Amino acid sequence: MYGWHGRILRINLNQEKITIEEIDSQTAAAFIGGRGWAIKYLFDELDPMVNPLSPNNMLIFATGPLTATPAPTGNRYMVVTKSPLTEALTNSNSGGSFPTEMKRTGYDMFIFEGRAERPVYVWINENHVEIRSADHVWGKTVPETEDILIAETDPKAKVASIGPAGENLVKVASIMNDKHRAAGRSGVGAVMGSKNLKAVVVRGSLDPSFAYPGEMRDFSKQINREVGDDVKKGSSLREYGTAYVPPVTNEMGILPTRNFQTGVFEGVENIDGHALKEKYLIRAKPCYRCPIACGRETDINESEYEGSGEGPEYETIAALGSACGVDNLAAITKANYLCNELGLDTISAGMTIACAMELSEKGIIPEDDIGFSLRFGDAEAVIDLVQSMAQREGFGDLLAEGSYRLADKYGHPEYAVTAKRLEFPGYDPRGSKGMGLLYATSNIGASHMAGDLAYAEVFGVPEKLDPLTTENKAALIKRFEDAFAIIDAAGLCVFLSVRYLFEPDVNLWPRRLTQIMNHATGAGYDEESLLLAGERIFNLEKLFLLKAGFSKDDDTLPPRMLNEPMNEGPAEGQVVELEEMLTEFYALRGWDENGVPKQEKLSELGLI
Amino acid sequence: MRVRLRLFATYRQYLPSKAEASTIEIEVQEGISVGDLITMFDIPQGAESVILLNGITPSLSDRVKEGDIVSAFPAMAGGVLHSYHNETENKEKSKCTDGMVAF
Repeated sequence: MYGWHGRILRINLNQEKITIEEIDSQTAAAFIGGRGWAIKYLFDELDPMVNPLSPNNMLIFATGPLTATPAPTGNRYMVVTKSPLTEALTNSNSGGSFPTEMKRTGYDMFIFEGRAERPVYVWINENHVEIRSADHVWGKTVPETEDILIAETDPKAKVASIGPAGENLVKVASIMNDKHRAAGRSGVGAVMGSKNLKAVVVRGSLDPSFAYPGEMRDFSKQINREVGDDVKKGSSLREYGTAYVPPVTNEMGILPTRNFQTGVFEGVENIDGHALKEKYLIRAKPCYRCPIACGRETDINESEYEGSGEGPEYETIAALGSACGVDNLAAITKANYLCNELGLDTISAGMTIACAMELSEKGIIPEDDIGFSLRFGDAEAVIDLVQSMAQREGFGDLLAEGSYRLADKYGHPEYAVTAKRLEFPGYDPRGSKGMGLLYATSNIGASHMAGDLAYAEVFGVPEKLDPLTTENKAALIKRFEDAFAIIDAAGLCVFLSVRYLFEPDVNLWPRRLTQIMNHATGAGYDEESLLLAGERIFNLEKLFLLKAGFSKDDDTLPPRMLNEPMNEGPAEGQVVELEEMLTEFYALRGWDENGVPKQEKLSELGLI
Repeated sequence: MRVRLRLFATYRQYLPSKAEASTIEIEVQEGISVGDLITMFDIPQGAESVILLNGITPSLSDRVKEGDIVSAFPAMAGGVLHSYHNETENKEKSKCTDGMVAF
């Protein structure tokens, strides 16, 4: 095969059994790779009602046909499993160097099953696959674990691991790679912890081959040159990272503030990319083969927050900052470092603390349960609670369950700002209506990465849309969801892909993406068939959800978004008119009024 | 009348050099449009810029009123769609290797 290796490594941790499987070329092309292959295996093999933290759950690491290729940003992998936070499937994406090295082991995908009796890590060096004891690194932070495991395997090895949060089955635990990169969302780290799997260490030199190597090289160079030329003209992402965004969303009145009680934050100037650059930035840091380099290598010298690492990026600033009413950038950055070291999703960790702050201020959580008076704006509390959440100490044990279970325990689930129990990212959908529909219909819950229409509604990419109208948003969300499924499955980063690999309008026609997919794989896609593959992936995920007991009732948003008009700013008076968008969305997707794919649609997609 | 101009990300470069924050307050003549104001500061118009009037997408011909805030930031990672738009239409045929057809 070209682009793909066509080989899958399956590791049963109960039996310490390692098998290598091949995938047929028809299935490979129809599901693209990455997120697509993974849901195909999950759907075919996993009981949708499985307890996510039981040995029977499957944990899949999946690269795509463009991972570890010259394709710009061909550096992603996805973690796919059933989530302990949402009880839905999840797919969590990460870049850095680990995914590239993983693909170079000669396998496109790893499937972990069962549960090891004792803590283990898996060392994969091409044909050498070994399950080793991890007793000596259990309890250690992510950076400590990486340093130790690289020292005892290969200096050029790359590591994906969990921190104490994953070990403690914290439902918002991440899987970290390259120390600072996160497959963050939906508690994938807890699934890894439940398997007693501390880390996966990879090393390899098996680059994929290409159907059209000359075209692959030339086309990749051309795109890289375009991006490079544009970055030279001035790139906000290079200059400030995604941290340039808080003032933008604040200006539009959609920056999550005090658990989404408003979308305007008075302290925004203190927590933006400009402040980050002036005070803490060391350098911009790229993932493998990325010409943009939105990563931030930073350090803090202020004694109480001293530390170094990477971040914060926008979502982290919104969650650990404005959502908690905190405008202390050093404290936010420190909390970010701690999340990375302990293996916590910064979004869900921050948003859960924000939820706790509101419940506390409203007198719903008694002060005795927390141990102190928890109020918005308390930077020290954010730093302390991140740590107690990861260790499940005291009140942190409740935070470790995520905001929905926390608020529900105190009888007020309406204060949890989640969809399918996944905490919202950094765009209040009352002022970005398409994002409201996305959060409600994403198969993994409230993830911006499932089809980020904020590109158009907020950032003017590929073109600026009115964020306050619901008109045409159903059609655009469908297209964005399908397009993002392709990007995820291919092994690319959305930042570059949306800007350079699609036609430059909101209909996201995947012209150049189709070309580069064919250069790599030779699979003979055209734009229609590639989009159909994205739609196929999205629909198969939906079928898994339905079998897991989800229904139309779950395609919704918290009452605050539906019934509580935004109180100030440019989005003042707005709510999300979800029902009208949802009805249109179901129809456009070829689903019935209950959000169930019709037989004709499944037939068109080759799913029956 | 006095209005405020607020520039984000790399567009901060269009602020006067003495500006310390992202916002400046300026005196402008009555009846000035959003487009006129943007032009005064050499801020690019068109798809490469996102321009807001009090947080909402305006038409460039909209009149600015006393106390309004006009803000702007680059839509792309530095005008990235320029080169894309300028690209000649060299639509390549999709290629297919023998024996492997996706659909």
